Amino acid sequence: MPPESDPNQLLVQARNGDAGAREELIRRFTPFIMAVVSRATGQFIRMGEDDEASIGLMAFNEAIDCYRPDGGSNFLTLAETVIRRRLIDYFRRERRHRGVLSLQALENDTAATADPLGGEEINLVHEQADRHQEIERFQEELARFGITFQDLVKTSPRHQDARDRALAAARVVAANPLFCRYLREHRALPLKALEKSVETSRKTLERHRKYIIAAAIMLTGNYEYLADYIGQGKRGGRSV
Amino acid sequence: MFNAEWGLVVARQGNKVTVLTPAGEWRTLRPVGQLPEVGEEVMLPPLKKRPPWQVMAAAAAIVLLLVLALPLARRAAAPPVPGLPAYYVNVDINPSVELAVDEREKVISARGLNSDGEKLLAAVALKDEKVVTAIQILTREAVRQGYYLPDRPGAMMVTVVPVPAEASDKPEMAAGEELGRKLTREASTILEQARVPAVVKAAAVQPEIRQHAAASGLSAGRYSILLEALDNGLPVTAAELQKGGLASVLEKFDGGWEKLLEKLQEDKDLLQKEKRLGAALQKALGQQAEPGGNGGKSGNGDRGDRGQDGSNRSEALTMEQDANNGQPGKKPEAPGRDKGSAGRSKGSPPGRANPADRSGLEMAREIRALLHNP
Repeated sequence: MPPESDPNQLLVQARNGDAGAREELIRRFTPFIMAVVSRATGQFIRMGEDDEASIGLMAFNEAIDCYRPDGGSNFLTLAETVIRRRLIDYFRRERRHRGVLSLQALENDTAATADPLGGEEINLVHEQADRHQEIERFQEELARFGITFQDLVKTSPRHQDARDRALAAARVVAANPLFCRYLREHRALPLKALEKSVETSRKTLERHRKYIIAAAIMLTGNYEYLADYIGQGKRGGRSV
Repeated sequence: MFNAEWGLVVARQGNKVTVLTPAGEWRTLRPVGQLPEVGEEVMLPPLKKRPPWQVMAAAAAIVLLLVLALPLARRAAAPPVPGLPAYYVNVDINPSVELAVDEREKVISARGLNSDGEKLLAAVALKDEKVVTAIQILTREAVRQGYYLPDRPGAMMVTVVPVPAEASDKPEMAAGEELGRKLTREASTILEQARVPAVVKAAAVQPEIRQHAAASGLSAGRYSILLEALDNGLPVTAAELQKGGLASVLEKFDGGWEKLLEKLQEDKDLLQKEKRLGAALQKALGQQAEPGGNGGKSGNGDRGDRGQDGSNRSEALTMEQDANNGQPGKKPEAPGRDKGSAGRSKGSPPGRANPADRSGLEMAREIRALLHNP
């Protein structure tokens, strides 16, 4: 299976009974599955160590079969819903067998008892609404810095190494109260001081200025979901 | 490049969405099916790569460009072939000088064709200068040394002799004419600045004319003027042309000399004219020499016996070296005075008659014979 093949295409092939495509799709989306499982359980999940990871993988596999392309829903949204449902099923079984209750299960206890699957879907909808609000707040704050999402698409570093360096610079800004203050007051990066704190040249910092500012705002503002989202792919799970 | 598999939708515009990937990349894409909501995660298609035919077309274009540009680049990068003249440029004022110029129009060597020419060259350094710069320098120096005077008529004849690259090649007369035009422009500008009302003309002549001129003890320019003057029925002689300033000699001909120079400039084949003049030319040359390659009686000795038509660049180089006898700027020998092995004529047996004709080997043999048989 070529590594650059379209995941949408892989999904179609997997649904048509191509075992190789199914395997490749699951392999590629393992970090996504781990992120969803970590988010649902509130714990950092490791592949091969935690049962939840296996539950997540099986749920994702199930989502491939359940998915209806003409149903109008997004596959990943469906996959997330299925993963959450199966995790709840798992926690219930565990509670019955061991008398142990997870924090997540406790929170949703009332809804889950009445209509466990429906309750999880409601949670997911609420979570998406929260994300939506968070993204809108982020967009508004960026606008105050004269930055739009389109600007970020244009100025986003193309290579992963360059992105990592830009994100590292943003983290330096976010970690330094003086830099943060400068950023908020002047709506600009403290380039002179920043270039001494990072290994990136001033020219590169200037070139990726908007990207660094956006990342620094994301890390310092109250944008939990977005801040958590960056780097998820590399870690294969939620940051701690 | 890390290729993100999924991303979080942060904005929707028309049928496109902007996503943030877990790798921190911001992308715009057109999703398959229904447009996802902001806050949803979507699968990302792989970043588009250039189709193979585009890559191959680009590679082919580069190869083609290289193939086309390589000869030019090689030619541009190639160092000038040392000492291989592409043109001889004769400048006649009163001082007469000859510049050997390479393909890049840089001066390889310069020599005076008369004592004034040597005097003029002694004051300037022309080697490795562009020939257009060299003519500027020469003209300025001529003004400085008083060969041109403000508000007094003057003349300059620039004669370009293109040297064929190979023996079989024809000389590039058109290139020679173009170079001549360029040089007259430069010289005229300098003279105008010095307020000298000079007539500056250029002509491109065949390499054989240069050989015949040298055999007659004249510069190619003066020899060409002689041919043109005789053709116009003017009673000028080689002896007259050898003496004094060009303008003062030409003034004898009632001011018709300006037209004469213009005609010379337009004349494409002086060799034909030379043949046609025949006896008149012989008379004008007097006892100077026989033009047309009779090497046995030639002046510089290096001209006649080297063939009239087989002139090429390497031969021209030999001619240059022979004429200078290893001493750049040395005045050419008087007509009829042969010198060295280069000047050895068919008529004179080697090692006899003139000691100067003997080669080093012959002399060594004689010395050895004397030592062994005192």
